[in-house]
Amino acid sequence: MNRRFLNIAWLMCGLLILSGCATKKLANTNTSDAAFWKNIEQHKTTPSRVSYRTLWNAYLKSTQPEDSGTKHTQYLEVIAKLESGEKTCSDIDWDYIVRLNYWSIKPHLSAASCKIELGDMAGAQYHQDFVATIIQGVFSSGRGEHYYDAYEVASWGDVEDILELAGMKSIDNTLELRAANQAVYYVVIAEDIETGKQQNIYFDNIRFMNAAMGYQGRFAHKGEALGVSIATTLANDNSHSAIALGDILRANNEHTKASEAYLKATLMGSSVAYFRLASMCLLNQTPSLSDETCLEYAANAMEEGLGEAYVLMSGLYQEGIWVDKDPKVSKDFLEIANKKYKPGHASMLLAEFYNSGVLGDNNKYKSKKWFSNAEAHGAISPQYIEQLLTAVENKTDEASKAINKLKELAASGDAFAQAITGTWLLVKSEQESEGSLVEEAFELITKSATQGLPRAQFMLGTMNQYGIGTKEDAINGLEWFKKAARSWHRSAQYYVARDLKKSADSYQQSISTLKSLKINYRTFNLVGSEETAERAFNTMRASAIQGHNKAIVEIGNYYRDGVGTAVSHKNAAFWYKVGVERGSLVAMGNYANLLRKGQGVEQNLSEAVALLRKAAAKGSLWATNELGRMYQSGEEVPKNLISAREFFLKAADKNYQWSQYNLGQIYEKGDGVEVDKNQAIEWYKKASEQGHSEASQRIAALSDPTDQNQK
Amino acid sequence: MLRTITSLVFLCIICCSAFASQQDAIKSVSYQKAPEWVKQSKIDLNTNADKAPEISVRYLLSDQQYNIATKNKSFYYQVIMQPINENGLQHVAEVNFSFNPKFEKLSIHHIQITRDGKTTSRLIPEQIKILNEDASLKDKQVNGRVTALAILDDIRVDDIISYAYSIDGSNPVLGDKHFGRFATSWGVSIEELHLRLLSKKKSKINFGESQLAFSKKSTSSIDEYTWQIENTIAAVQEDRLPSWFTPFGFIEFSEYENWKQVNLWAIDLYQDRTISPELNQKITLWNNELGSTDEKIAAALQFVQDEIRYFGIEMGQNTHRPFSPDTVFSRRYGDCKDKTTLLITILEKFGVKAYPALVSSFAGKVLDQQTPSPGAFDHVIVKLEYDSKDYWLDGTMSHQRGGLKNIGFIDYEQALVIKDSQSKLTKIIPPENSASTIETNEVYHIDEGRGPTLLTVETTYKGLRADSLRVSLASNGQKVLAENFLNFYSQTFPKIQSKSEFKINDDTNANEIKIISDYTIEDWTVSKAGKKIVSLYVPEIRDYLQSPTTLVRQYPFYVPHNVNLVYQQTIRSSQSKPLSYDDTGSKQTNRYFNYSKEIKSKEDGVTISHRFEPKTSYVEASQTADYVEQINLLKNQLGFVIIYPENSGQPIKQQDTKLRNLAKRLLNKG
Repeated sequence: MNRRFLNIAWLMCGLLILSGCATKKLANTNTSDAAFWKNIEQHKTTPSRVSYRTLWNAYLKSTQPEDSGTKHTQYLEVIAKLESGEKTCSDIDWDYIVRLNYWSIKPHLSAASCKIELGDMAGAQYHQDFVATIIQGVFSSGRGEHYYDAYEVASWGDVEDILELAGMKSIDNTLELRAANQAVYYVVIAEDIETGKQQNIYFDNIRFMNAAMGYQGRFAHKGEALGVSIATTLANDNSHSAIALGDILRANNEHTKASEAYLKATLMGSSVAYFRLASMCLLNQTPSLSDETCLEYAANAMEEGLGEAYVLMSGLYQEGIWVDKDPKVSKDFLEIANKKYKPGHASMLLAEFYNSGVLGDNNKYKSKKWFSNAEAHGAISPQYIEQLLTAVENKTDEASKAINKLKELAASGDAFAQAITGTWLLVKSEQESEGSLVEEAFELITKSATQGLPRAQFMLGTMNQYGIGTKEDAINGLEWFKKAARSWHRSAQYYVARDLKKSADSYQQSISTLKSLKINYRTFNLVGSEETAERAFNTMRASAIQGHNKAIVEIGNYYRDGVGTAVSHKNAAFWYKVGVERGSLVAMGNYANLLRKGQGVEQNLSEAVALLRKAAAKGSLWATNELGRMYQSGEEVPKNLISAREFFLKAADKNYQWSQYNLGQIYEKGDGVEVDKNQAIEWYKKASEQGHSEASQRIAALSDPTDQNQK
Repeated sequence: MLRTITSLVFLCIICCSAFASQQDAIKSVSYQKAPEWVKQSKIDLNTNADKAPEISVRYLLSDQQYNIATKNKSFYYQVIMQPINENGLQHVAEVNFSFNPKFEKLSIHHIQITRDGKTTSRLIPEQIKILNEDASLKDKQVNGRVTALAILDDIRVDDIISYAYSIDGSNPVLGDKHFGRFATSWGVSIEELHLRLLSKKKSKINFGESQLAFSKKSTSSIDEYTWQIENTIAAVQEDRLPSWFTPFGFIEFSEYENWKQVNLWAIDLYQDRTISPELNQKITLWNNELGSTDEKIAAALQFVQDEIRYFGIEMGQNTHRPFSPDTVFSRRYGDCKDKTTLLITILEKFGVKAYPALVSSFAGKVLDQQTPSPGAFDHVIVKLEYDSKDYWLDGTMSHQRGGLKNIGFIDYEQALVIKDSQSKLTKIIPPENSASTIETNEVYHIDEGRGPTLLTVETTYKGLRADSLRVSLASNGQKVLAENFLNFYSQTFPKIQSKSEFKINDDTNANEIKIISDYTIEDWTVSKAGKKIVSLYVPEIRDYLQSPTTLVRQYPFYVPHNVNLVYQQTIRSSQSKPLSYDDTGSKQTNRYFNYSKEIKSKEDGVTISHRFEPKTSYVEASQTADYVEQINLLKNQLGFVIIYPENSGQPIKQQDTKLRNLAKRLLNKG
């Protein structure tokens, strides 16, 4: 497929899906639709034989999610006619309506109520049961508390229906961009209509988006610009995109533009945007706004019912920021916030506000106070403890207190606490050589990983790979890496990408072998496929974008060598340059090579030499040897055999076999020195011990008096 | 705003003018030395300009002299000026002299230029052009004034230009008593201002409210008043000045001691009640066919307003003396004086008392501060005393309806009613409920996302606003009005379309015009998090809340007034009840306006009612900050946001409780 087309199509698809009106144009076959309906029929007769996963996957592959917005409108039109009395229940072909988009729950519910009215109790029951299947499936796809355990849905229009069904109303919603803007999550600030309790619920539709593009992996798209493009393009249409745009701009320190984006969102009724503006005011990021305006923003967010805003206002009255100090008002606001959250959560938020400097500097003491208050009510944020732990590293008492809290939390099932406690136990086991701690750590980290915490999944992968706390199991380890990688864990992505590259290499090798033997390779069940290299590339790139140092150099190599992508020296140079800036010695060497050849950059030998010298000075033996070779050949720099020998000696002393071999060559050929066979053999021997095969051959030749190459 | 149609009031400018032929005009211009009575100013031309650089022309001298010691008034004027940059050249290169050849004679004494200390004459009589000032034909008046224009060649920066002229004579209709005014401050400073007035010994000169001290010398037959001011203060330029306010200084003088004397002068002009047989026949017809006097008065007014075309030939005496009623009736046109006299003639025939009332179209508010003279007025209307009430009728209006009870009222504030023994100005008291009103009733039917919103607008114009709308409809037609409405709404709703024909209902008895228009609007609400957010605003009221550009100011400023606005917006949703809206009303009462907002919720929708009543036509400079604060407060009240649940199909019903519990349990992992 034409790559350019792919990117544009992807972006358009993404935009439409995110708007809640999915349009899927690429994946479509009659067979995938047939497979979907076959699964549905089977589920109808024997539900236990078809899992939600199977149904969901079949749904994603089918044309069902296409034009979900239009289909929903069709449903609304029917309902309008029903309500106006223009049509009655018996006039409507419910089978047709629900089959427009089988994952949309409202049509099923309307069908059920009509069928009850018509006395078709069995028919009604089926629709109700299918809705139960959908919501069970969605709610089992994660916990919805964080980005990494977000509930998986197809379109965000479905989100509203599901929440309505669960008796929740949405206070506001935002887009959260993760993994250097590669990942987009939909966060609904939902309030239980009965209890008034508020929570943030995360939704994710990237797998649907990937499926829509014909990919099964997570890293189908090729640019971190995706999130930015979506936010920028949709910022005029909906407040959640405008907020996302504001967040991006704010992260780039473009405060004026960020506040403009938030203001745009406020015009579309967003309370979160008001809250963001108020917090920007508090961090002095909006110097042009008056205190009155800032206060108005905070008050607006509060009036819209945003729990966090009540907590913030409480803090403002407590500190006398923008208002006269008033402990009573502060207390009242906190009280309202308390009613909106689980016990202690409001205090926890206040502690975090104090800690982050939003409520003025030097408020760590107050932060601790509110943290204790939260704790007393049973609300503890393990993230907060982790920060605390870093801060009190040297104070054993406080650290152990914090650890005990974490352990309690871990025992109560908090994934984050489990991961931190596990890590801490591992560190301790190393310090104290206490093996039982390793097993305890393994158990905790497994629990956390099973709950979906990416960092725990990565740790578990590593433990499996190296046999820490469990038996060595590379395959199982890789599986955990894959899980973590899907939640954007950059190190996991790097390792997964490397593994994929290995598969791709061996696949290509197998094919070329089979081809050379004139055997039809298609009859073989080879590991990997034509797309494996592309998947390796996408995954590596995702990791690089997130700033994984090794991935940065590696993606440069992929571009240079055309792994899973077209060869692009320009892109390679871009990534090597990023690596150089981050101090990567390999990147320096690779970038220097592009400079020497003028590939992807303008040829610049002096810059190349400077870069190699820098790498050599920092300990790159490859660069040291390379400099020696350059001075030896005199093709790129003035020939200087003394310098050449010095560079080779430097690297050879560090046991670098190529330099040892090169020194052997110098003495053998008398290149700038007297011919010295013994010296040559000495250096060849050293290289040979390192496994340098040519060096071994030279030793043999020099020791053989019949060899013509002796001189 | 577009929907507010500016009131078209034809004013009748009573001016010192007469019609004259080009030949007469040329004969009325002479070139000679300044007359004997003039005392010429001598100033040193070698002084250097000591002016702020933003000034382009330096005025070294303005010398104004009046001689009213003789039967004919004479006026002498000399100005000396110097362009000090390129910009200034265009201001000085044309010299013009305006006069009325019918009874005034222009004599140009000199036009000369001093360059490098050498003075040369630039007065070339053959090159003086005489132009008719026929621009006033646009105002449907024939005006006999002419302009003598001298275009000066080769004028350079730093040349000193001096010219002097005098005008002798005055309109005989103004009688033996003279009046006039000296300008004492301009937009720029004048280095030497010389003013001089010669009057008959012991004749009483009324200087009105002028505070500037004069020196007085007398001979056996003449009193001489002089003023000499150096470096006059330039008048500050500020925006939005009320029509009755001028930032420029002047000294008025008048031989009229009081308004009684002005009345005596005018009373003679409005005596003619000649009725031709045709006019008599018309009056008889009304008398026979119409029952009540009210009806007769209304019919007469409508006849004078609509069937006597507005057109003034203000020749000679007729600048101030109306034509005879039968002439006006027969030729079917006339100006304010003519229409007034005709109307009074008819009304008197109905047995009601009616009088001419001299008014000022722009300075009514400060008429009592002016020096009494015929020059204080530029318009005349009818004061009707009927049924123990006073009515003020303007024959130059058109399309006025509503009879005496509901007729639109123009507030000229003060008038000199011309009748026997009248000695004072009369304060015009506006009748009760005389303010014009525009009532707007907008109903938005929101159709829950399945179709566009339907907007029905009912706009009712009352009083003067109804009159102006009639004028506009008569001249522009209904189509233009419909387009104006649509344009007005499209500023708020870009995707608006007219749905059906514009309906206009003119209730001429009540003087009310009701316009009904329907629209469809798409894509104007905002959807977010399952909510539909509807925002409304009232630009119509906002347009009446204008702050001046110059906020730190010395002079009062004009504010739009004379109309009460009632603006009602109702939002109805066919599907659901609103989730939330701010139902707090508000009230604002201050010296500038009364405002109230009420929000009422009924079964079928939410209604927001705004009521705005301006209380003043101007704001004092010292109140600027307060006014701006008050209007900003009000502007904040004009928006309204209401939130509806977004329709996403049928709400979850009772029988779905099991599912709801399941969803809840799953969501909370219970």
